[in-house]
Amino acid sequence: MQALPAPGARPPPELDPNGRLPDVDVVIIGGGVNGTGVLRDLSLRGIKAALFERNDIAFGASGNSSGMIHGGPRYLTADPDVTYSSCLDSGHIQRIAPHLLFRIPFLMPVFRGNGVAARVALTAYDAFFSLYDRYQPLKRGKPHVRLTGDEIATLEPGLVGGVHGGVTFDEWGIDGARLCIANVSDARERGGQARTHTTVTQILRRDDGSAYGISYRDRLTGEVGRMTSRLVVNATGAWAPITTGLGGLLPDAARIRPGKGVHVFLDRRLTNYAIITSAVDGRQVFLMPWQNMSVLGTTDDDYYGDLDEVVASEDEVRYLFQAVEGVFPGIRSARAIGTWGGVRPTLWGFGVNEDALSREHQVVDHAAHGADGLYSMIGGKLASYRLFSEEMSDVVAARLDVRVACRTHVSPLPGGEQSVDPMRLVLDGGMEAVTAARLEYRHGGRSLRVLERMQRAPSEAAVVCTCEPVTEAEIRYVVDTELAVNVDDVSRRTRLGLGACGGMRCAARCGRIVADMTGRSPDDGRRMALQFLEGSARRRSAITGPEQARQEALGLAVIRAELGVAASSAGDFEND
Amino acid sequence: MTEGRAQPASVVVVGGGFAGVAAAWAAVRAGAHVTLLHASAGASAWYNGVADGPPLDAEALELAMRLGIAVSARPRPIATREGVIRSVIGRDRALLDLEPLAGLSVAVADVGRDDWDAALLARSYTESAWARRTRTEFVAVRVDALEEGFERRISAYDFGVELDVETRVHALANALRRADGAAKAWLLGPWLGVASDAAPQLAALLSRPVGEVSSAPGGVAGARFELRRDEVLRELGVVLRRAHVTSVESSAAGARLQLGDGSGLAADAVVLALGGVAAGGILLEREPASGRLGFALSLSADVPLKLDAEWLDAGSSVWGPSFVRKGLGALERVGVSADVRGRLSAARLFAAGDCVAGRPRTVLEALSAGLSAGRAAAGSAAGG
Ligand SMILES: Cc1cc2nc3c(=O)[nH]c(=O)nc-3n(C[C@H](O)[C@H](O)[C@H](O)COP(=O)(O)OP(=O)(O)OC[C@H]3O[C@@H](n4cnc5c(N)ncnc54)[C@H](O)[C@@H]3O)c2cc1C
Ligand SMILES: Cc1cc2nc3c(=O)[nH]c(=O)nc-3n(C[C@H](O)[C@H](O)[C@H](O)COP(=O)(O)OP(=O)(O)OC[C@H]3O[C@@H](n4cnc5c(N)ncnc54)[C@H](O)[C@@H]3O)c2cc1C
Repeated sequence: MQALPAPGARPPPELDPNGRLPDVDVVIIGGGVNGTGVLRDLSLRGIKAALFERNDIAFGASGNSSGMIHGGPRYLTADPDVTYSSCLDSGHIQRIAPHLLFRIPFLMPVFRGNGVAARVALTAYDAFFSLYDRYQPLKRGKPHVRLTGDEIATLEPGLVGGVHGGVTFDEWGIDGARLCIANVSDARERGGQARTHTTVTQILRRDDGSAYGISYRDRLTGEVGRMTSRLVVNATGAWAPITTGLGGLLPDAARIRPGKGVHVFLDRRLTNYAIITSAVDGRQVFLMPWQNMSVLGTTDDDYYGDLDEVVASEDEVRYLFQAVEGVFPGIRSARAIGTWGGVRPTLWGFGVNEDALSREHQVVDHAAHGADGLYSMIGGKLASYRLFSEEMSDVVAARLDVRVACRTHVSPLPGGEQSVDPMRLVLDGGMEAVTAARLEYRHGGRSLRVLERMQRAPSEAAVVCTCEPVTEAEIRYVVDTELAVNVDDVSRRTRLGLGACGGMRCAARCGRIVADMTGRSPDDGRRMALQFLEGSARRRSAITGPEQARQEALGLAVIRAELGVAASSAGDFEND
Repeated sequence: MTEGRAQPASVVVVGGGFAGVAAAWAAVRAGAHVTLLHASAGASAWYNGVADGPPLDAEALELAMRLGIAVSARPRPIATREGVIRSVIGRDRALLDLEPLAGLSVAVADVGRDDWDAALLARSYTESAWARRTRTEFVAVRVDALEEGFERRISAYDFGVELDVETRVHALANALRRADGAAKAWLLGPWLGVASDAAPQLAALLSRPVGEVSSAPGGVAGARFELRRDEVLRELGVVLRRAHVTSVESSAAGARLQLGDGSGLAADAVVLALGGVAAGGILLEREPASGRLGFALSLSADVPLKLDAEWLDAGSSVWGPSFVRKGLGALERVGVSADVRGRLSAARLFAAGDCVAGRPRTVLEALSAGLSAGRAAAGSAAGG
């Protein structure tokens, strides 16, 4: 681990090489949870920062994780300090964004098999989670419960018979994309800047090697430009080694071991508990109720493919299904409706198998590589993003001699300032109960702003995506205030089009709305809808099974019929 | 089997979509006694009101008309529910034909229903290549057409049913008149009646063109098809039964069908018009214990399936085909292998429509193929 600068460390030059004042104090590369976390932290301290995101906010691991703010029970025996700080930070996140967290009770069943082994295993789990219980109050978690086989059969009737007993423990779930958006929104309200769909193409360095800004290219308009700064933070997760390369550093300056993980999501909540079981190779996998669906995950394999195109493969999907089939046979006839995949930016450790690699994080000071003023954030977890961002921001503040303490653990995120009873949205807005509850989940107190839109323009109360559901007002709100510029972006923020119909009913309309709001043509709107539909179809192709095949075939017919794509023999006026 | 007897040949058609009704029609006209069995809604009952496909012969044209489809010699423009102007050969006659409206201003009725964003749709139509070329304009006009609050949210089908009531059609005509008496033509959402012909009635009441856009799956266009199909079959004297066929066995002597309720049925020839994956005529299965892996017909028959150039016999993966490799489009390319007259390799078995591999998935294709298969089936049954 590199030594971090002490408070009062040598400040970076005041001026850029051309003798001009830099545009901002800090440029942050990457709009995942760590980049957005730093942007918010710096903005709260009054440090002027600008974030560049190549794709969209939460496009990478942060929007494709298992969505758990866990307390790190896996570190309990090896490194209890990690468990302590994880639980503490889980508590902080819960305080600043209470609307975004939902309780997920986990269940670890123990099967009869060899009677003695089962009893021993159960006793061991019981003891282990008694230890974990000590940390639960930090995150308002409930203590674990030891259950008998009969109790489990009642509580989770879908499990196969032969359960000897089991233990439950408490964790929190979160929508990772919403967490990133909340951080960006707060930062922007406090003067921070963020540009999405804008890739950093180069890290600018002085003759002495120090970093003084970046060059960028807007991937939608092609516009290129530069932004100068006193410090540069590389928060590009699994892309980190590529990013340091943009500054002329060797990839091992920010070395990670990229671990791909995929999830399958299934229509509806199939279980009451998140059930943990073992895959054929002994790894733990889970089937968990998450928001309004079930999530099956996850895998962990070295990945050296294209980071902008991480798609679940059939092998990965089948490995997961096979793991769960044995304990929860109903999964066979459940309807898989999508997949997501991300790459973990795990700290590098050669020769260690993927699972044993630590999920710890580290700030790398590239002064050691001749690039003073450039830092990389390596590793980390959703659950520890706030802490990691605080550590990074402390370094930045020290170098810039800004003596303002971190406030990200006490200052609420947007939506967390005020709680709103979804019933109020029903009564005041005429929304249906599910629509209101889902809206409140995503926006917390800010859902009142969406409600205001509907009251101003009643037609915006129309439900566009009926699966989730998502209203026109919410689509317009996220385009107005949350940097969404296409259908994919809207989907990432609202979960539009991710339900059982695969966007067949809502993508085109969403495209019309987004095009209208961003001054683009209806044709552009249709193109972005198709881009979304094709992308999600590609992510679904690995899971197409008996229950979903008919829907897929119907979707193909609808797209051809309504959007005139691959028009039939009769020809199409749009194409002639 | 029937040779030398006065009794007409018997043909059983399995499937109640465009292909099935066409096969029944042709078999009856060829002198056969026809029973049509169908399980549940297929693609035809879910279609959008647009009929693409090859040019039709006189008989097919007659049947298309009976099913409420207006077929034109040249492609003509219609508006889809998703803001596209498409050219089509055939359309449910309630769909507004835009051809005569080129160069005019078309009013798009903004009735305040949740599923109908008239303003953005009007803009989308106006900016289409066709509208720009012909200088046609679409303008959203607010119309007070909802009588109850819930009408804002009910499905297009349910709202369409309300327009089966004559007084309601008159009320809508008045509302349109009030909203803009000078509008040259009205384009409305896909809910102009199911059993009634509300579109032509409105056009007559307002003496100007009035019509709708294409339907969403489960909308009025498919429901109209089902009503008209039943009427056509009744007039033909076809025995229409709702039943799931579980198996078909055939030999040179004839065929035997097994139904879901346990009963059986004999026939001289059988036409399979089962539809594709969207209809449930072809299933994707994963039942290792029964050997059913990958694609299978919805009934058991000695008829192999084909995907692209491959026969899908015994599987090579317990999970079925790889859609990552073949693309989801495989769901529309898979089917049985029939010749141009709809003959399958098994004796006395014929097929038509979406259940046939590698054919375009269109209404007129299903209709034409259904007629050929029906004719051929009746011919074979009569001793051919
Ligand atoms: C399968 C899986 C499951 C996980 N489950 C959990 C969990 O349950 N709980 C938990 O706490 N953690 C979990 N994690 C870990 C956690 O998601 C990640 O550690 C965390 O999201 C990393 O955030 P990040 O901001 O560093 O990287 P990312 O979120 O990957 O963000 C990096 C961003 O940088 C952008 N970028 C790349 N290059 C450039 C460039 N040149 N210019 C501009 N932008 C660029 C990318 O587009 C991307 O958006 C999981 C991870 C995975 C993969
Ligand atoms: C949403 C949508 C939009 C479309 N848009 C267009 C378009 O714009 N233009 C165009 O030309 N075409 C379009 N089509 C395609 C067109 O509708 C179909 O190609 C056509 O309807 C196929 O007719 P079919 O008779 O072959 O099959 P289907 O209509 O699918 O009929 C199959 C029948 O077989 C029955 N069946 C299956 N198995 C059994 C069994 N074991 N026992 C008993 N009965 C059984 C089913 O119940 C059903 O009645 C669209 C289709 C859909 C779904």
